[in-house]
Amino acid sequence: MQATGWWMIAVALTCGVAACGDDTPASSAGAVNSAGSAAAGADATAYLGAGAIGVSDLDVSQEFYTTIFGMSLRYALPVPGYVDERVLHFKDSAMGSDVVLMHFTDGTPRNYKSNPARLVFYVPNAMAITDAIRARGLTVISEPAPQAAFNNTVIGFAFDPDGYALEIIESTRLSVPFLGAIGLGVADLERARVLHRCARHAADGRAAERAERLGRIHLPLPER
Amino acid sequence: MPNVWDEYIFRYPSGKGSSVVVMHYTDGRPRNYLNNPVKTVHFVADSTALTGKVQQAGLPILSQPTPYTVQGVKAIIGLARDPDGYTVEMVTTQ
Repeated sequence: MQATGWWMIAVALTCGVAACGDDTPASSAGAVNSAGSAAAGADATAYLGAGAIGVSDLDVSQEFYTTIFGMSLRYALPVPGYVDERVLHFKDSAMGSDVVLMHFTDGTPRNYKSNPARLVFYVPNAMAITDAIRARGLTVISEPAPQAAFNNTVIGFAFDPDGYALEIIESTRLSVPFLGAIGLGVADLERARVLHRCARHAADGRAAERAERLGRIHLPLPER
Repeated sequence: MPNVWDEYIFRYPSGKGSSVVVMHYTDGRPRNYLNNPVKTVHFVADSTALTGKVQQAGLPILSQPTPYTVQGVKAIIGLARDPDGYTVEMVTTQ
């Protein structure tokens, strides 16, 4: 595994304590140097294959994501005594990663409700999605509306059956939805910030700088 | 997003697949960030080497890279946990 792949994994994990040598802001100079050398060995093929969420009822969640977002079951993967997974995909879209629904069967208690993770979907019609969610009695956190900070992109928020936040971003260029991102709530964003500095010289520097300036950035629409 | 959350968004250089966002809420509501049942699945060139680097970084390895066949596709899959307890699946297909 080449080093830049590791940087991006590390950033994704928010784990780069060892990757940057230190998790304090003072380490950023060394981190930048390391990241700079890392960039030369980038894993150009690495990608996020899926974002997976634990759900309380696989059938309920599968029905929700297939009906509301038009996803399809790619396959079911039971791992006996540990977890049952259902891998969903947008069969008519070449963009974005899969969504995996997980329900653990190992007897260890897990909290499936209202976890600080979120799924970000790009959709052709945000209002149609939130209307469909509301019609199921689920919560629409904020109605789709143009966001001036993001070039008036229409964005709405809602909850899925387990309380995972759904960010619904409208792109009228699309004919079918896709998963733009999976969000992970982290206890220490500064740790991720240090890695962010690492990654700036690897792959996503512009986004990093914008993020520091705005506090939040609009997801770029991937190239087709 | 002021008074709601701060976040950073990352994409792989390949441009393929979705992004990963790390976020921390700033709205004052208590949240449990640890050991939630959420996983990210990363397809990489060498999951064995990456798992080794993750281990060197001091993170827990749930499963050393192991050959599996999933839906007819052979893969080497390693599993780890990030500092918040999110599962990280590292996959290299053969």
